[in-house]
Amino acid sequence: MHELSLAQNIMEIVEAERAEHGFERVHEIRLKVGALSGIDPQALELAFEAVREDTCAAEATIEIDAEPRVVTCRRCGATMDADPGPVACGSCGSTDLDLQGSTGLDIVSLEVD
Amino acid sequence: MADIPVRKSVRSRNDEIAAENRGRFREAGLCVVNMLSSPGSGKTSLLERTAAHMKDRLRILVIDGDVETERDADRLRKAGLEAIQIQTHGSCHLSAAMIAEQIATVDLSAYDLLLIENIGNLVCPSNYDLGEARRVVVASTTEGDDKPIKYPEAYHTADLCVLNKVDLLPYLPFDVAAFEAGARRAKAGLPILQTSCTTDSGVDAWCRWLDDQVRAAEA
Repeated sequence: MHELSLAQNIMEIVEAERAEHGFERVHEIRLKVGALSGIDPQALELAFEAVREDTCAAEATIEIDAEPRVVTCRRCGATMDADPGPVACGSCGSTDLDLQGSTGLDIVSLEVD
Repeated sequence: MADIPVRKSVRSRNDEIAAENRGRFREAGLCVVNMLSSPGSGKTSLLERTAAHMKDRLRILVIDGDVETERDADRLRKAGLEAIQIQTHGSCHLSAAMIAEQIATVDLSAYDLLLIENIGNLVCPSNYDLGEARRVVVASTTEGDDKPIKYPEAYHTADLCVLNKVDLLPYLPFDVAAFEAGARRAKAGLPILQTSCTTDSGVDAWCRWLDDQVRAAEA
């Protein structure tokens, strides 16, 4: 829901990198999105389209590397998909599960010229 | 074409301001607790009960975030607390900068405990560090027992979970064990307290937890 402000944050970081490296245009912005970052990638892309106008990133695309959402069982160690949200381990039936993942949202790199 | 490595958090500006806030809080020996929940879980009611239990022995300040209105701060002032209302006019979370602006003119050493009542929203506030020492997620029995598995982010970053409105358990299909398993799936060993602001049950345990955090901040 706050993807617009995040898109603005991305643009601020891009402009800071431009001031440092002196490139003209950004072609691609590569992001790493943690499984627990609360980000909707589609909403972020849409928001970015709104803030990139008349900037060095006017034609830039966003490439998202999304961390998989995985739950592991603390009893037997089995790993399963976190969506839609298993309440018990598919292997041993234990409800002692562990949702793993990062809350991070990082700019990994920029493709520029 | 060239590839420039950046490796920078998109939220880095917020994190920098949060670190500055944390520095000010630490300097003042002030304990700061950030409270997250869905709308209507009873955060304000819990703070009213907290006031009744603690206001005579602790100096408490509340910063209350809502999209609109001063209602919550008014309720807390009536309960005897000092309260600052932030109206975000649309923003779905409090940010470190909003807190920095509010505390700029406050003598933080005049308080023992700052309780931040975040915007009622289980998604966005969990990703914004405000500079707090502890984070609490408040859930309520009327929301259903599957909230922790649907909205794991808030639970994952919490130090304590308060399950409120437990006086209604006899009337609701709410499975406490399933709720607790879901919360601990998001955060291993997450402590969970049960409270009712109607009967006052469990509020003493919540206040004891706050007392422990205040002592830790003063040390």
